[in-house]
Amino acid sequence: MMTNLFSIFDPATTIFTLPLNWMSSFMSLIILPYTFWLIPSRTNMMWIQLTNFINKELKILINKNAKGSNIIFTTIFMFIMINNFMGLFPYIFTSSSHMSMTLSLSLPLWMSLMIFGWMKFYNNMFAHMVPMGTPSILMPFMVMIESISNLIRPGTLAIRLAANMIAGHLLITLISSTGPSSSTILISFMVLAQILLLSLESAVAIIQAYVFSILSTLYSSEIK
Amino acid sequence: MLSRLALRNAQLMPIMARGAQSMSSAAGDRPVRMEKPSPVRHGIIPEEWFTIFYPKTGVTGPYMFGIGLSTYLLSKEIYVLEHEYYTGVSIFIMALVVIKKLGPTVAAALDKQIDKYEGDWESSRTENMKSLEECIENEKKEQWRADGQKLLIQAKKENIVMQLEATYRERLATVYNEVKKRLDYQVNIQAVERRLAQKQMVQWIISNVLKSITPEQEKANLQQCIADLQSLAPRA
Amino acid sequence: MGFGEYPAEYNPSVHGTYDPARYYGKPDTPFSQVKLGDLGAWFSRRKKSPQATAALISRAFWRWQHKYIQPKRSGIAGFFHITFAAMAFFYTINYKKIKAHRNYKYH
Repeated sequence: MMTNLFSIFDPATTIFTLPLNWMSSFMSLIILPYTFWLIPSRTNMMWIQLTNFINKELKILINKNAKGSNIIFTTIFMFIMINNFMGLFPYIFTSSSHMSMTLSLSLPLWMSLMIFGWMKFYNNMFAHMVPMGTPSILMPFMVMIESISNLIRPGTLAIRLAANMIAGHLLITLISSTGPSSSTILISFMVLAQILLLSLESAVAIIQAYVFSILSTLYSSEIK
Repeated sequence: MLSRLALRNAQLMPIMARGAQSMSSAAGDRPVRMEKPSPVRHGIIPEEWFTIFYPKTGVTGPYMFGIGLSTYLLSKEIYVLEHEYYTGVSIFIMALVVIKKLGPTVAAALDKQIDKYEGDWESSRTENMKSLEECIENEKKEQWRADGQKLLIQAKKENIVMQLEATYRERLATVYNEVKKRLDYQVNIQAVERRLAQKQMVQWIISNVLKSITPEQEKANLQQCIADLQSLAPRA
Repeated sequence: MGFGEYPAEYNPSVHGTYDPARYYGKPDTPFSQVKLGDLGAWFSRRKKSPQATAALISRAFWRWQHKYIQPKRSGIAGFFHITFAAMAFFYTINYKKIKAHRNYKYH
């Protein structure tokens, strides 16, 4: 029986309750393959293929004036994907399920884009408030709606990622918490259900990372 | 004399020693890349962990150690079979299926990419070498062609020398002919003069002799001739 | 500063290319061949400083890398080494929490 259903999301460890669980964010540094030789090994090559694939996807979306920013979005994708994917393994902490981490990823991005856009391209930012082709009567409401949707963007990015991760992990923990107190046949059914859930979860992990980076790219390309 | 030799050897020694040292160690200590990773058993456990047990316990040693250790951990509940464990079971089955099914195909695709990448580097190097060798070949051919030019010039020189000699000989012949003509002319003049002089002399002598023949001489000559004829007639 | 520099004993003309997995100090018996009695003497011979500890960890990491990730035809073993090591690490860190979920009262 579980003391608390959410105890898997607790970053506090038992070593003087230091929040050492956050060290799972370093997994991406350790998994990152080092290039010692000229010809990449298979692990290197897999990383290179994945990065190239994501880079190609993001490259076509960014503004031509911000040509170097596809690096940061690709990096964000790899970081979030590794964090999500590693969190699926039994005892590893999912750091991207905490708002503190996802918000600290999305808020600086959005703030920097906003500050840069509003300081340099004043008119353009105002023009984005009203989408093309609205009838003139609706314009005041459109401005309100657009500005609100713009303001909540960091919140949506952060909450989407955190909520997806929390939901998935919660489901898995719930189903597997029946494990210790059930017979062997029930355990086999449970394992079957868990396999389905886990396949869904791994897909969700990768997709959420993708969504995060794509949206950040799109937001950045809206600024001239 | 010998001391200078010793001094020179002493100067050369550190250079040779440094050269030998840098040649041997710089080439020998280079890290070599392994082609395949270290062998692992059951996909993750390194083979060395197994071979440590073999001298003391034999082949079943590591497995007994593993079973004993896990039994101890489970029974003392140092390893608690809680909810995460069942998640681990599901993940283990999933990972097993995925790796067994997709492992070889992914490995083959990655191998293809690696070989293509290496092939690009290798081909650029070999093509560069090939083009340089072709340049060397072309250079040699050009040199051979230049040698041919030398022969051509030599032939031309000989040709000109022959022509010079031919004209020389022609001129020599012309000179000879001219000189001979002039000399012949002189000779002919002299011959003509002599002939004329001779003819003139003969004419003069004859005319003078005819003039000096008196009539008595004529009669005496005639009498003589008749006497000679009378002496000769009876003999015939 | 001290980060990312070559070790002081490394000499390119003597050692050749830099290998992060090699120890470039004074040659000493490797740890796996030290007899138990000499352990104290061996330990006192080594350098004990934060930089030396960091260098030790870095050399161990690179030795593992050279065996399982850098070879041209590497497999999935390297990734699972990392995963299982992380799982063990996080298990030991969260042990007291997990101890509370024990299923049996008497062992």
